[in-house]
Amino acid sequence: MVALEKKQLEYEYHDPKNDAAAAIKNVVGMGNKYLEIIDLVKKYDDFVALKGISLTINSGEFICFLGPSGCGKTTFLRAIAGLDHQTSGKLIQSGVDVSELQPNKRDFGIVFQSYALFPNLTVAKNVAYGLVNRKASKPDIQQKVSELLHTVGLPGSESKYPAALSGGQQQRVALARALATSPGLLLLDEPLSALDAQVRTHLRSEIKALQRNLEVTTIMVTHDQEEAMTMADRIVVMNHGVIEQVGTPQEIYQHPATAFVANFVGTTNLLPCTVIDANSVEVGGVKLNVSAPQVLLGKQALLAIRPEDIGARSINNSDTNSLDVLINEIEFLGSFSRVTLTHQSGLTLTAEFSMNSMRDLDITSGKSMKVTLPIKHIRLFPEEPSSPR
Amino acid sequence: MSSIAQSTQVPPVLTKPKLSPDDWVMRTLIIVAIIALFTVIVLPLYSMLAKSAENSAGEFIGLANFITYFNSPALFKSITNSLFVSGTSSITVLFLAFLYAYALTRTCMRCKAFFNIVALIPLLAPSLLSAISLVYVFGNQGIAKSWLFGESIYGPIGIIIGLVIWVFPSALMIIKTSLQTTDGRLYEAATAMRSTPLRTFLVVTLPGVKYGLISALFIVFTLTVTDFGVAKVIGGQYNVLATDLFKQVIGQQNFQMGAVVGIVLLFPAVLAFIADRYVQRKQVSLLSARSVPYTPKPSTIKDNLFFIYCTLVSAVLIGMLAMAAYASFVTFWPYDQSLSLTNYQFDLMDGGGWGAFTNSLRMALYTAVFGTLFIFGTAYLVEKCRGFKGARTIIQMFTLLPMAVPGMVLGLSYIFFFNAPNNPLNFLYGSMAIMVISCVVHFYTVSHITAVTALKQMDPEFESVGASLKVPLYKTFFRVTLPMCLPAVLDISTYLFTTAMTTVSAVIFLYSPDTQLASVAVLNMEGAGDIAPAAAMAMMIVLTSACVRLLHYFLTRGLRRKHLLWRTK
Ligand SMILES: Nc1ncnc2c1ncn2[C@@H]1O[C@H](COP(=O)(O)OP(=O)(O)OP(=O)(O)O)[C@@H](O)[C@H]1O
Ligand SMILES: [Mg+2]
Repeated sequence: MVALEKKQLEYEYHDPKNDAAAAIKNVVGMGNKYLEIIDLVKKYDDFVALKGISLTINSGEFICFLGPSGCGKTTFLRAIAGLDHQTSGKLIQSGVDVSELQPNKRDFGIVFQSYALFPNLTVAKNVAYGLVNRKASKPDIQQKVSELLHTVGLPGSESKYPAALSGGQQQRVALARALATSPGLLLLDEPLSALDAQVRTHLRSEIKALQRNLEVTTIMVTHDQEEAMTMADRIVVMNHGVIEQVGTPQEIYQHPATAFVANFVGTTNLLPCTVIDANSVEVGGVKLNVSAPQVLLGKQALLAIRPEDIGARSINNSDTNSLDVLINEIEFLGSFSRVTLTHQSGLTLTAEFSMNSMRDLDITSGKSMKVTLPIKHIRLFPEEPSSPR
Repeated sequence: MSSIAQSTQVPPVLTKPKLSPDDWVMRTLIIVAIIALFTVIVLPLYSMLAKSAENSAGEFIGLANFITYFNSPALFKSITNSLFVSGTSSITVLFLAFLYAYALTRTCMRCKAFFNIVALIPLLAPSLLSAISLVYVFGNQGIAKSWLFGESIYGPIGIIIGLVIWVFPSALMIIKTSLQTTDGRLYEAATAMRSTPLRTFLVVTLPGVKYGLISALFIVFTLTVTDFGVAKVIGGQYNVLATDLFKQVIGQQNFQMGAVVGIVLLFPAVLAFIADRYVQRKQVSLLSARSVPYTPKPSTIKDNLFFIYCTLVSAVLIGMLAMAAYASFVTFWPYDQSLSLTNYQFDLMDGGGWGAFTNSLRMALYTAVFGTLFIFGTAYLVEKCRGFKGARTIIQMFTLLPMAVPGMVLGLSYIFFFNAPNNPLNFLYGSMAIMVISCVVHFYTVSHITAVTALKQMDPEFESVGASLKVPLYKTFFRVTLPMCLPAVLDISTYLFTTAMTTVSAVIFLYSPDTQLASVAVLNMEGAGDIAPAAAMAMMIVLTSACVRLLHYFLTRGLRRKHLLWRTK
């Protein structure tokens, strides 16, 4: 994508409405509250797709809605846009209550998974679709369109029809069309899922760079955790119509709030256990040292530890939580390997060791070895599959 | 930074979206459409129902008319006659059309394009045309009368042959579609398992088209049991329900009894319609998105046998048209065989003259223009309106109803409804408008389904994109939706034009001396013994329909080129 001046798009094209929008943006400024969602509920007949969601999004933020299929991401996004109206709840966008407004009265641009490019209009006319309506002069529109196409890395394709473009190019046109009216909020519903892996990785960074330069508040729906991790300022992890956790990619990964998050973002060993006291749990007959929160004392819980946190180097018998395990399967994954380990108690663990460790420790299938589960990497979650609300 | 709030226990305030002007316009239009459809479909049928329970003085007498009807042996005989004639012709045409469709889809026979076009010939003309040709071939002065070994063509034989020819294309189209949608992978599997051709046919082909065949049977049955033209021309003394209805209403002016026959005629049509709906719902589940089309493999014997068969059928269809065309130019059959345009001097004969022809043109044009506008517009509203579910469901019901109502029954109910002196719409009676309405309603269902199918094929997010860019809905409609749906719009208007041009049943009770129509003129001239001019008028109808179809073909081809640009790389 072509390097671009900051906010170039917003200032090149003048329109009273946009100036107003820009004014609001300046008042609000980066990092202030832009969108406030309060107790949003969406029902389809008896089925509750969104169960009272609240969320605040700051201006200029890149937010990802991440969650398994059917958890309500699209429903949430469409409710924010006003395309599928919420059953109850409030939406406040840059200080204005938009809960009851129709989509055409709100300020957003949207890119659908199908792109929804108008097949009978050329690329230029697609991009200009929202501009023509604003009584701008023809040359102005033309210039704006070519700027936008330049921005998304498709200069000179004005006269082509969408069908003549590749998936990735269509995606860019859809993005240009959504950005044409300089919306304060950009909504992307799985924009990359229809593309092949390479194009996807490439577009990821482009979209992110574009978003940063335009400082447009963006919400992207995805079920690809890698996508969310690399692009988002904050990730909203959803499951069964509720938010499980909101946080930066690092927070989400390192401090998952629930067992679901721990398991959905990255991989985790989730082991059912009984909390004995504040310092120990019992997992399938093995006693492990942990630091257990007060609320879980004496209860059934889930112990979580990430595969890469399982230690294998220089372990003594006296070390806490050291286990003698049998090496079962080894899955070679390039720079590291995923190893399945079984303990004599029947406990099975998945661990990831770097190629370095694999070599140094001579880890081969059928041998036994010693591993540790460091206390600082062990998390405990309430046993019930989390659905707190 | 994170900010999840626990939901409070305060009962949530339900939010209702404020309706935009677009929503208001759409909802208002939907209500208008409901009122319009209610007025032209439900109310007339109700008034026919009411009429059937009245005596000639207009007093309510319950089922007395029905009792009289079922106690009159002559009238009751018509029911069995109708069932016999329709049953026989339906089964025959199903068999013939299946073989023809099989040849077109499953063999590598030559001249497929030609056979495809020829099969459509009967659609260009009123059902009367095939009967008229039969009269010329097998009638009292027919050229091949002796082929019948003394049997008379005037009666069930003639009716059955005429009906078979007339409904052949309708049956063919349905069966062909279901043969085309069978999954080719099944055949690959059958070949891999070394199944014999006969076994493959019985186990794969027939079950695959089962629903198509049943559907075709019902549609063809409805068409034949409610057709009036063929039986009128060639039925002789053999009475069927449709001719009874005509005699009761036009001949004896016995409207009450007419209403009774109308309701009796409604029965088989409604039953067939319900059965067809049921079957079609089942068929949907048979198709999967991953099916692959079947590609036939050449086989000399099979291909040649089917080629001969298709040639024979085509010869009959072309012969039917050619016979009537030739007869229409013969100066005075059978005495003066010289060719002339005498029979085309319609103004010298009863039946409405050239005026009837221009009236027909006008009516077909109005039907096509206003019908397409209304039908496509309503389909658009039903598909794209947000919320308002109840009203949309009502419209969907209304749009299915006309398919179950035979044209004559619809026309009859219009007499009762629009001719009622206290009806404010009374002024429509005897006008061109009422015939246009009748035609639009009669052919509503097929057109509606075409429109909805086209609309459903478009990305549902087009309107969302428009809204997000603050473009009013009507602009998106004219800039995107309509251009994308233009082929369907053309299909609908061509269908409406040609069917309005050829229909007899939907207009037979509704024309007035000022609004004579070509198709009715064919009927009337034939009835008056002017059979050659009737053939000539029918040829005018064929010519017009053919021209419109040709125009449609070229327009669609042009559009397809453009669409190809939109669709492929
Ligand atoms: N129109 C509808 N009527 C009834 N239920 C619906 C409707 N739309 C969505 N749902 C249900 O609401 C839930 C959430 O759907 P949604 O499309 O928001 O999921 P999603 O998180 O976007 O999933 P995906 O990743 O598959 O796109 C699903 O269980 C779905 O079945
Ligand atoms: Mg989705």
